Amino acid sequence: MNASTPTTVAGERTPDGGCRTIDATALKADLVRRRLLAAAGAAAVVAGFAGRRARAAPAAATVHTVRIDAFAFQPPVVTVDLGDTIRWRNDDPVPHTVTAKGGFDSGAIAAGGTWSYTATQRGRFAYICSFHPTMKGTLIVR
Amino acid sequence: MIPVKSALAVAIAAATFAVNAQAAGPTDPQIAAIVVTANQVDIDAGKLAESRATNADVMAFGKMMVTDHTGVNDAAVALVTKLHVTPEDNPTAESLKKGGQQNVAHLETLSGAEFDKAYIDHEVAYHQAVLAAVDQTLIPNAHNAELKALLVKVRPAFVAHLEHAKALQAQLGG
Repeated sequence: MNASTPTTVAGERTPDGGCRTIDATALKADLVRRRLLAAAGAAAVVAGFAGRRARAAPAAATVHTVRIDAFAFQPPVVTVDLGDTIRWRNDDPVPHTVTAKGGFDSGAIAAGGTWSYTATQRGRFAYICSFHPTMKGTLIVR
Repeated sequence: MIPVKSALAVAIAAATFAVNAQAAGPTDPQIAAIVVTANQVDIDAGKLAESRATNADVMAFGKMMVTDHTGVNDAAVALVTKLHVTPEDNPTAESLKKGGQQNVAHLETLSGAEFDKAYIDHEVAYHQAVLAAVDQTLIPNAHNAELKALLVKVRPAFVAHLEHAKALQAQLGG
């Protein structure tokens, strides 16, 4: 195409309030370039997020179930990873609690009810039922 | 005066023996009545302890008796309703009810540490007797599989209560 003949025109306001046409070829190119850069930038951000998400959670956090049955915690010892969730399910006809001194406390879990706790601290946590203290369990968080 | 604790234990033992002496043992409707009555007796005593006990642990134990035995009764009633089994009154259930009324009447004459000790002493003897009845009479004679399974499932509640009551008995100097 002949550079002296503009293919793209735009209007520009003149100081006296009028309007004149200008060669907008370069302006259009610049606009296109800016749009391309923005799109590339957005794509990079999205890709970055996706990559970050994939790196932070190589495997989904697991939910572990502990049954409360016959006045006992089954299994009595449960070992989980940091960030995992433990769900206690009360299969007994009476209410129980999951109480770790200085740690977590479910309060009363009704017969048939459940209580979930996400492990946010590493360590070994001994817990009992505060209503029936002979009921003992251990949570180990790696 | 015969201590209420041993009078009740004797009554339960005698009634259980009478039931055992029957050729066939208690039927499922009779077992249902025994279970519901046994729970109700302990709920009534527990309510009295909630209002009358002085020692905080004894009061908490009474509250737990009300909660747990209500829960067990709810499960028992739900099951017999589902099975269309109507609880049938019988000598063992009657004996439990009578013994329970005698115990409450006696406890109502006591207060302070005397009440606490008498209440807990009775709870130890009572849970021992009920556990023996569950093991020797109720579970072996239950015909319906679901009723038997429920008895097996609630047995640990009585064991836990007995352990707890014994610990309190020792704590109170019994």
